[in-house]
Amino acid sequence: MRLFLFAIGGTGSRVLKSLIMLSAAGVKPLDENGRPVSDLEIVPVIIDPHKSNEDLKRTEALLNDYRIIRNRLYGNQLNVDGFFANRIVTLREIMSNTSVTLNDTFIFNLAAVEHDKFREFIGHATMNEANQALTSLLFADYQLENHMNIGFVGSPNIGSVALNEIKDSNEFKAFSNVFKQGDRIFFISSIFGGTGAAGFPIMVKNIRQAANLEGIENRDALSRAPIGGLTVLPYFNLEGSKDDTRIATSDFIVKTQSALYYYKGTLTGANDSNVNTIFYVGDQVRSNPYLYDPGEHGQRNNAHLVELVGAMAPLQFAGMPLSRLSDPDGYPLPTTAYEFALDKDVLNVNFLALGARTRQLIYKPMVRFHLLFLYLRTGFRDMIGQGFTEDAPKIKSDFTASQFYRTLTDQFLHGYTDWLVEMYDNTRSVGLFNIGENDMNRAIADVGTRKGLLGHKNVDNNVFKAEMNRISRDNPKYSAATVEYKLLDLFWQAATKIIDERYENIN
Amino acid sequence: MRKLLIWLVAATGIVLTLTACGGNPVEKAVRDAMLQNDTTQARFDSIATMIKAGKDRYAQYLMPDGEINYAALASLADEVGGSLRPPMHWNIATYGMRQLSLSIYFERSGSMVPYDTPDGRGQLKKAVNDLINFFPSHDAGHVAISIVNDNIYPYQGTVDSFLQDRNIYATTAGTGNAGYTDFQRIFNAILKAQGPGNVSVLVTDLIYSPADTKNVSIDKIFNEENSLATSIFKNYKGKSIIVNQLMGDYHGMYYPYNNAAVKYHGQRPFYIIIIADTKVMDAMAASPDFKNFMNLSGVRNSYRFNQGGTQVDYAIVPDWRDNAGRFRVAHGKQGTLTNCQPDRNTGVLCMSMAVDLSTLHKDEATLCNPANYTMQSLTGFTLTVKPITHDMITGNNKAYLEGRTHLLTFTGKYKGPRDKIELALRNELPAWIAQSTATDDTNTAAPSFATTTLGLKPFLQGIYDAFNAGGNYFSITLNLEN
Amino acid sequence: MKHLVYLITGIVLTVVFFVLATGSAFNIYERLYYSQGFNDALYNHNMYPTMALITIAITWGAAAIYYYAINSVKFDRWYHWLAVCAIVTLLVPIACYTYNDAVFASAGLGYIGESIVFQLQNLLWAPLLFVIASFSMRWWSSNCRHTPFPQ
Repeated sequence: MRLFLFAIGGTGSRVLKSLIMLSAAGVKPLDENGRPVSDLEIVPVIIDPHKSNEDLKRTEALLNDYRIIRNRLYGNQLNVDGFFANRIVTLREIMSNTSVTLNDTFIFNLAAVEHDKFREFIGHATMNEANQALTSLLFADYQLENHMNIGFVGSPNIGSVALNEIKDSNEFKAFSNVFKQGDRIFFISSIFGGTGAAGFPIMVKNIRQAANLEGIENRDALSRAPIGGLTVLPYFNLEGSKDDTRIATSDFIVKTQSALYYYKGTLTGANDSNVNTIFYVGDQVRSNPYLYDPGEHGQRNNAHLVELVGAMAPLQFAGMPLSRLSDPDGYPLPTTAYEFALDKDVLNVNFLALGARTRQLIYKPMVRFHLLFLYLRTGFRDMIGQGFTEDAPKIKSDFTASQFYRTLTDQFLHGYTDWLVEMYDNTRSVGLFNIGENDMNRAIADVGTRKGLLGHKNVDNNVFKAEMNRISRDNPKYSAATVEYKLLDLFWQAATKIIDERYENIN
Repeated sequence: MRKLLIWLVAATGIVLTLTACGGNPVEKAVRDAMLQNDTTQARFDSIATMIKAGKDRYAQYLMPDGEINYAALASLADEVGGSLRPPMHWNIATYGMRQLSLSIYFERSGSMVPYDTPDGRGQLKKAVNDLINFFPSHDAGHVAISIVNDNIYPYQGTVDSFLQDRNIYATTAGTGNAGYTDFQRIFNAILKAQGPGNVSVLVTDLIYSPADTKNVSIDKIFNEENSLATSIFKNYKGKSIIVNQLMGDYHGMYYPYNNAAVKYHGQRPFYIIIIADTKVMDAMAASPDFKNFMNLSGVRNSYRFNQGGTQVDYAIVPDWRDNAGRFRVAHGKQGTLTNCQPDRNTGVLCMSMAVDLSTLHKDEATLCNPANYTMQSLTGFTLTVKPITHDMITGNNKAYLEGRTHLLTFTGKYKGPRDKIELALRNELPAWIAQSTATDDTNTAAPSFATTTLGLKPFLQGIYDAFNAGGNYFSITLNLEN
Repeated sequence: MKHLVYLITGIVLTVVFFVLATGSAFNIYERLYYSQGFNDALYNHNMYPTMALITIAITWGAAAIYYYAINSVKFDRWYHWLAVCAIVTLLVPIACYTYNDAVFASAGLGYIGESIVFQLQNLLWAPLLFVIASFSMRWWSSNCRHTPFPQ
């Protein structure tokens, strides 16, 4: 099954980043029986006209790193168990024919942004007078002067016009080509901004009305496709120029209300089956103020709990039984809405504040990944030439200079720490791990090691080394494997055992 | 798989451990006894007790009737002793000898009576009493006493009465004809009567006194005597005869050959002749139990007829004060010395060998006289022989000297690269026989009268010839290599 | 399979050592040091097999302890192994000497000088057997199978 994941706008990119982190940790969508969804490929498509958006750039970089790492680990294999388990691919990568020209990127190439200003994009100068008058009625002057390549700066009315062109794009054609029955579609967007608020309904409309579109394949499958969406409700504050009021916190609620009304009428109404599943997530506790940036300098907002929670929505959607999305004839069922709640309404969120199901899903994988991060940072290099590294295939010292290792440690894990720090610094503060703590015994916030006969059980690099040595010994699994796979798989197994045996059980 | 490997290592360890420490407890006991030079009957008895206590475990050393299998133990002892450095020997087979019986043939001719007169010191009676007393089974009814002269007559008393009798000739007066002694009849009778496991002892003055020797030349008598001896003993090649010469007080009439009786008051030799199957004789010679019996006190000279070549127990003594140069005993090849190098300064190679010659039952003079040995070698090694005395033994040479009687030292300017020393102690009729032989016993005042016996040599030579003797008592070959 | 070959080879070599160390006509102990009276006493009191066994037990035992009892990631470097080897190299001659001395004393023999010189050869046999033992059994150690050097 492919899950086409349209991440729209800055919020989409940030939620996608959290999803990347969860995927790196090995969090996989589970079906109703708790088993990993088989043959899953996630195809993220970032729709954001604001190409210099820092959040987008960071997410794209992480996606590319993820791809490199995963390719090295598993190649094209599906259904793997371990770090970077979810296969994340670009549209280009899964295209079977090359009749459509497409860049190998996760970013949707919006033709609209080729134009300088919105006024030029809609051909304002060539309109007749009546149309120009109507345009003036619909758009304020500053909106007509809006530079297209910085996004729609909180203006869904611009977005709805600009994004309507998507249906004619190569990307959309390519998407319709590869989409098959059984695949699912998920949208991530904020409701209170410009791009997301407009993009989500337009995209849904185009997919559901694919039968009417020309040059589109698999129309039937598309119009019946299970569609889910994450609608991010306001959760952050803005600070910045009082003079520039194009995006204002105070507008967020108003815009949200309007949009929700609109969604109710077109997407998520009780009898509406355009979107089968909708996840709402937001937070009344507002984040630390984000620097106001209408787009010119590049939007760069700190990661937030809402995004982490939001990232679990597409996973849950992917794991839903088809019977909850389609009727027996294959037609989409009306919308079901989901919300998320913390177990404890606290400002400092750790694993213990999460509900049991969430903990079940992410606690062990994230702890494992964090331990991997600590191990690679503090222990691994010194172990090269010893123990398991000497079992075939040997991990030699030049491994640390390999593209894989540098991508993982210098780039991906760097992004991981940024992500952790940003969530920690934010409000609510997410402190899943004690940031900066290299001692594995104290790495997990408020979760210690178990008591043994002689005080608390110890977890350190040597414990991992011993466990990895043990697992690696005469293990035929690795004889034909890459060193990259060997290292991460060994750690995965060792960590699974060590977490079970040595840390307090909070699940 | 892992378990299998652990078992593999453990099994190897167990096998090695058993090889090193385990083994047969009987074998260990035998080895310990040898290493401690405690090859005694008492030690053997303790081993036998151990074997009997573990009947199932040590069945191989037991006969079907539960008695000790001496042959099996003897071969074990040979095996263990042969593996030692130097090789050792424990004559266990002798312990298994069936109980021997002793037949005393007490000559009662006229010339014997003066040996046991009340005024003499009674050496003869004492010697006979010793023989009986030192015979291991003397108190078990295995001793028979006969009186011999012209024939063999049973002694009428008991062994005890014999032992306690202070004048045996008086007691036995009138038995047979004391006028002459018929050696042919006596020896034939003794040899014929001797059953398996019997030891016969003839107590005699060994003076051939056939009836009616008047006008017969002494040489004729001697020749007759010689032929007689040969003709008797040639039919008994399986027998061994030991002739022990002792001295006793002689107070009374002496009957010289072809002459009138004269009164003699002085010492005279008498002889104790022990006759047994060669095997029995060998076993007695090797048995500690028969040590006193075989080494009777008062014996002046001795010679054993029909003594085959014996394998003597010997060991090269690695550290000995007389040793010069270097050599190394090749293990597993007894009698081979490797790495032989003469002394750098003198060019002399000198090595000493401890030998147990006790089983030969030869007198010290014979054993210690290099002239009695034949020795051949390229180097021209010379030999010295000396008895091992207690003060020679130290902790470290104990293993070589203890239990051995003589130290044979070979000295020569060895040049290599190899040599062979062939040493043998010749089996010859010893000099004392000739020295103790008189051809005329009419002059009792002659100085040699007290120590000589008329016609001794012809008679003993006759026996010697009967067994076609010669050869060597023992021989040892030493191979030397650079 | 390769490791099994190592183990079996190690066992065979050790058994060969044992056999050669206990032989009479050819004895590797005596090849390196020979003083007749002393060596005969060693032989007669059956000390060669026991000494060989002590040597094998200590070297294989130490290797087993190193690879399976200690089996620590903190003690898995070549110099840790070398330290154990050094201890074994000292321990074997001391143990064998003590044993010899006890047997000699009970037998009333005095070979102190020879015993000391003789034991110098265990400075060769002990590390040799330790290497054999190490290469026989290291492969199944979880933490030290690549000690002293990876293969």
